[in-house]
Amino acid sequence: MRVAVIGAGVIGLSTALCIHEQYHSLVPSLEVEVYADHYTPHTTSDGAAGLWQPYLSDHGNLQETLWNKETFDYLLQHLGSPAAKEMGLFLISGYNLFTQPVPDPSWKNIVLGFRNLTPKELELFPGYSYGWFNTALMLECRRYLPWLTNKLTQGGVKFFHKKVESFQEMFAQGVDVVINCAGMRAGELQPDPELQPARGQIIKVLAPWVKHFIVTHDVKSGIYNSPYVIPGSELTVLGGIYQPGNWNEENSAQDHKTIWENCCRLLPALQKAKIVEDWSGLRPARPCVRLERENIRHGHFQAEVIHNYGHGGFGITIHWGCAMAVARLFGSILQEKKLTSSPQPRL
Amino acid sequence: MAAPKVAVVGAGVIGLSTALCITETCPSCSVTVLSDQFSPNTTSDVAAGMLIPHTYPGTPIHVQKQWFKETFTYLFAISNSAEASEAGIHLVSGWQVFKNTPKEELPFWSDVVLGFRPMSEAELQKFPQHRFGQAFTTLKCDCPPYLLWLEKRLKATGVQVYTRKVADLWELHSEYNIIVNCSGIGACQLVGDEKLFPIKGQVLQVHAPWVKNFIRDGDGLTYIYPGIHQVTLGGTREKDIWSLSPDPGTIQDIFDRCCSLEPSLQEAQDIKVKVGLRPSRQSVRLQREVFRQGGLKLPVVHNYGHGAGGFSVHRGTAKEAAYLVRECIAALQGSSSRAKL
Repeated sequence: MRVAVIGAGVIGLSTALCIHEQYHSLVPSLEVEVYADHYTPHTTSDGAAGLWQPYLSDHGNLQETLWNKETFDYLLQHLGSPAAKEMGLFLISGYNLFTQPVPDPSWKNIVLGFRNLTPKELELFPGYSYGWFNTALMLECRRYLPWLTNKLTQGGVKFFHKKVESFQEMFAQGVDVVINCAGMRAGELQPDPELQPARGQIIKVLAPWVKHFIVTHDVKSGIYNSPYVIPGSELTVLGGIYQPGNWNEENSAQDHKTIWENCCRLLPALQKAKIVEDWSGLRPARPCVRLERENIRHGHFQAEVIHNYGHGGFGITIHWGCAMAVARLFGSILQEKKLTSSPQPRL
Repeated sequence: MAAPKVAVVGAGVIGLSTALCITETCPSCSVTVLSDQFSPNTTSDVAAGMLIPHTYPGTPIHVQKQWFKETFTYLFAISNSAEASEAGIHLVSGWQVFKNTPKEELPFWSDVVLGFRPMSEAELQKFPQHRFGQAFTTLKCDCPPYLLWLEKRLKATGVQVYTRKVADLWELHSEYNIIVNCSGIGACQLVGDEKLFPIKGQVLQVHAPWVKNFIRDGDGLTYIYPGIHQVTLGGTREKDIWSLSPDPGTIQDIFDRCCSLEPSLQEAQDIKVKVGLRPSRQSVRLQREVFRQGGLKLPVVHNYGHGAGGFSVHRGTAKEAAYLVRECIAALQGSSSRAKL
C-alpha cells in the first residue's frame, strides 16, 4: 500500500507522520513517501513565526476550532518531554490588542490563563483601548520540520525531491493513495478558485529582551494587516502584512518600512533591535480548509486523493488536528480496501 | 555653602541609583561615587533583578509598598522606551507556585505588578507538585546592563566615579560634606552594624532562550528568571556565610529543582555559577546620622541592608535617601558651626 504525500511543509510532514504512526504496524505493506520540490528551510511554513493562535473568529466553523484545540492539546502534552527543545516548542505569553471591545474568541478556553487586559497594561499600548492576555505555544518550523523529518526517516519513510505535476503521475507509478498537502500550489495539481495567496512579509530582528508576543488588530484593515511582534528562541519576528491576491514573493521596501515603523511605534523598545533579514511568503488562503477524500478515475481503477490544504495563516495552529482527520479518512480507505482486519485504531 | 560635595560609597544598584536621585533632587550638589567594586563584580550583578518584593519584617508595609510602587513605575516607563534594551529593563510574565496554599493569598504588592490573579486549573497542571499559584507580569532589571546604564547617566550629569576602597567614613571628611553609605554588606565592617548579616546565595546562569516566562516557587528558594541573554536559576539561602565560593553539590541541586519546575531546562547550555551575599537586615537602614569625633561633625545618610529585595525597592529607597541628603544640606546651611568646604 503506497501512500504519497505531496508537500513537505508543516502540513505534509505532520500528515505523513500521523499516518505512519497510526498504521505502519497495522498494515505491514504500508509505504509512505513524501514528494516535494521545497524542503525546510525553504517552505512557506519556515517563514511563519510559529505562534499558535487561530484567527479571531471561526465563522461558525466548529470543525476547525476542534482541530485547533486538538493541536494545542497535543503540543501541550509534548511540552514537558525531552523532545520539546528539539521540536522548537515552548510556552509564550502575550497580548492581543484592539481599538474597541470585541467578543471573546473561540479559542479562549483552549489557551492558558485567558483574560482581558487591565487599564494599567493598556497604558503600555497607546491607541489601543481593549485587549487580551493569555499564554499560548510557539512551534518554530525551523526546528519542527527537521524534527518531523527525522522521525519520518527513522520510520523508514522515503523522501523525493521533485515537483509533482499531477495526481496521475503518482498513480501511474503505482501509488495507491495521494495526500495533497501542496499548500499554495495545490491549484497547479487541481484548479481551485477558492485557494488564493495572501502575501505576507516579515522582518526578523535580534531583540532578546522582548519576551511577549503582541498581536494588534484593526477591524478595518483585516487580519495580520496590523503590526505584530513575535519573539522566537533566537530572533523576533515583526510583521503585519496580509495582501490577498498578491503572488509576489519578493521583499518589498515599502512593506519593510510599514512593518518597521508600525512595530517600533507599538513597542519603542524595538528601536535598538538589530535587523537581520526580511522574508516574504504566500499564505495558502481559503474560506475554509479543504480536507476531504476524492475519488479519481485512473484507468480501470478508482484512485484515492485526500486533500489537506488551504490553511492560510493558521497552518501551525491547526496542523495536528488536520493530520489526525486525514489519518481517519485514510483509515476508512483501508477499511474499504479490506486492508485492516483489526478495528480502526483509537484516536 | 557653595556646591555641597556628596560622596556616595558603593556602586551596586543602591549606590548608583541613589547617586542618580541625588543629582535629580539636589542639582546644586557635586556628587562623587566611590567603590572598591563595580559591575560586573558587585552583589547586584549576581541578582536576577526581578521586581518581586522581599518583605522586611521591621519596615511598615505601607512604606515598602510605596518604595516598590515608585521603583515599578520608574522602570515601567524605561521598559516602554527606546532605552529599554540598553538599560536592560524588560517585562516578563510568569507564575509563582505553592506546594501548600499560602496564608496570605494576596501579597501587598499584588496591585502594583500587572495582571495579578490566581492561576487557573489548566495552568496548574503544568506543576503537578503544586496546588496553588499566582500569575502576573512584572519587570526585570538585567545586570550588568542596568548598572552600566546608571553609570552612563551619572557620568553624563558630571558625576565623578572612582575606584577606591573606603575603610572608614572619616577618611572622607576633609573632601566631602555629606557621605551616603550604600555599602551593602560592606556596612558590617564600614560602620560596624551588627544587625546586618550576609545570606549567601548561589545561582546558575544558563543559555535557554526558549524560556520566556518566569517560574518561582512560593518558598523563594527555587526560581527560573529569563533575562535578556541568559536565564537565572536559583537558588540558595545560607545565613551568616561569608564565603563567595560556589558549592559544587549545590550546582546540581539547583539545576534539579529548576528542571522539575521546567523540564526543558535539561537542554540548557553554558552553565555558569555565581555567588552573592545578600546584605540582610530586619529593615533597610535608611536614615540620617551625624558622626562626631573631637569637634568634627560628619553628616551621613545610610541606605543599605536591602537583603533579597534590593532591585524591587531600589528607586524608592534612593529617592528617600536623596531627600535625606537634602535635609543634611539644609542642616549644614542653617548650622552655625564652621562650614566645611
